[in-house]
Amino acid sequence: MSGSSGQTGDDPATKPVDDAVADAVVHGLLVAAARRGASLATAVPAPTATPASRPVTRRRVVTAALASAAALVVAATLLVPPAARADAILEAAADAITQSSLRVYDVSLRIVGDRPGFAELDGRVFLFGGDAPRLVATLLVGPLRRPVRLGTGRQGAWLETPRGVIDATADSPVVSAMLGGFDDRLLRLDTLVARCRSQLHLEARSRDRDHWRVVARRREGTNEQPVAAEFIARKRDGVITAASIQLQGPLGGMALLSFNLVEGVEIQPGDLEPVRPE
Amino acid sequence: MAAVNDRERFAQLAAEQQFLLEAYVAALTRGRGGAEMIDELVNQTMSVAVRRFERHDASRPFGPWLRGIAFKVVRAHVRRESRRARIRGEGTMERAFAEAVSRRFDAFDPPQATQRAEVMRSLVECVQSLERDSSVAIRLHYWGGLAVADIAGVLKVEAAAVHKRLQRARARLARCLERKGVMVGPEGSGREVTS
Repeated sequence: MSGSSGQTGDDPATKPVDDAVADAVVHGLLVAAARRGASLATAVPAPTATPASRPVTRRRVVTAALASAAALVVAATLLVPPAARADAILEAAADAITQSSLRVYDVSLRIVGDRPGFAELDGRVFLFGGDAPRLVATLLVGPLRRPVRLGTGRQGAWLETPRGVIDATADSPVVSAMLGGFDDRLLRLDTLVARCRSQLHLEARSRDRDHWRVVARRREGTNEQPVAAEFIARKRDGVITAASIQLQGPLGGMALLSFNLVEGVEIQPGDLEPVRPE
Repeated sequence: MAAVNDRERFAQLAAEQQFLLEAYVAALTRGRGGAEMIDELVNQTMSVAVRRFERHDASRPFGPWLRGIAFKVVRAHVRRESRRARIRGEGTMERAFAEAVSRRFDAFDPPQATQRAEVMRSLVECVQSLERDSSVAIRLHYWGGLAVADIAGVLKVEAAAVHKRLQRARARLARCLERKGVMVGPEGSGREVTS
């Protein structure tokens, strides 16, 4: 294959190796591209395409929590320990979003971990592996593990799949039915959020007027398992410009949620339920 | 805040590199397992990388460093598998092959989203330019997730013919990507995989 470039590829002695290497590299690229749902029918959309440019037929509000009145980019990075359950961390992320009453304009969520798999929501959703965010994986990935794109915005939410764009609003009754070839089980985004809220309790304690410390407890039945956590918000002129939540799991794993505001959004103290100044 | 900043930085770098990391792991492990194995190895790599991130020299590119970890993770996996596979007569991952693959990826390291999109776009264009038989095989195998045997059943040809068709298609795609300047030729960038 390599005869078109490079001197090494013209050497008959190395050509089989070069061919095998090129074959493997192309194989890898194809695997990665296909998993991202690179469209073979049309050009791949630019990663920074705005919601307004997407061919969405219906856009409505997802849930009150994910409704998007303000322009805010939420980037959540979750680094989970090998033994941790990624779905719990995912829930923590969603819970943190909902608990803090942040309005979501666009979502970027990433989960990195040993066992649970890797997930990314960055206008796109790539959820792989094991019991990783299974709440979402069940809906979005299915047996073929095809990547789909999730978007939330001012005008609602949508999923982009290899089979087209679908409405993912909360009142869309059967999202999965439109995902032919995917898992046929149904999951609504509001169900995910509701479950998140039921399984993790975040309690914010103010450190000073510009910083917040959060105590998180994960609910398991009637028990609550303490999880060390820290919420740090940076304010400028009284407006939060960036924030992050760092969760320390009992096994040493870390969950970090970073919030970067595109436009200044005031988060009121009540949004974070401050308990007492430290 | 230093730890938070480190993790934010790691998250950003990891996000930039995920596409190539998956492609790299898939290239090294090809034929040895499916999507779940790739996920597992990518996850292991990320897990090791985040723990060792403080050792990463920020003045050096992150991609080769991350793939260096991935190489070791994959090698350990292949060794474990090979111990089992000796019964079946399979070999281990050859070092020269792994180094050559690494060189290709190092030379072809697009960290920016726009560059990654360009790689994807070029790849799609190359697939679209394939002759029909090759294109169908590639689409069914990679986008459709069908095994070679399943494609053979769909196309009503021998599995060996599908295998050959895929191989020829990948060779054409390699040439196409080289012509577009997206992928380097066999010389690569010269990085050696460290043990």
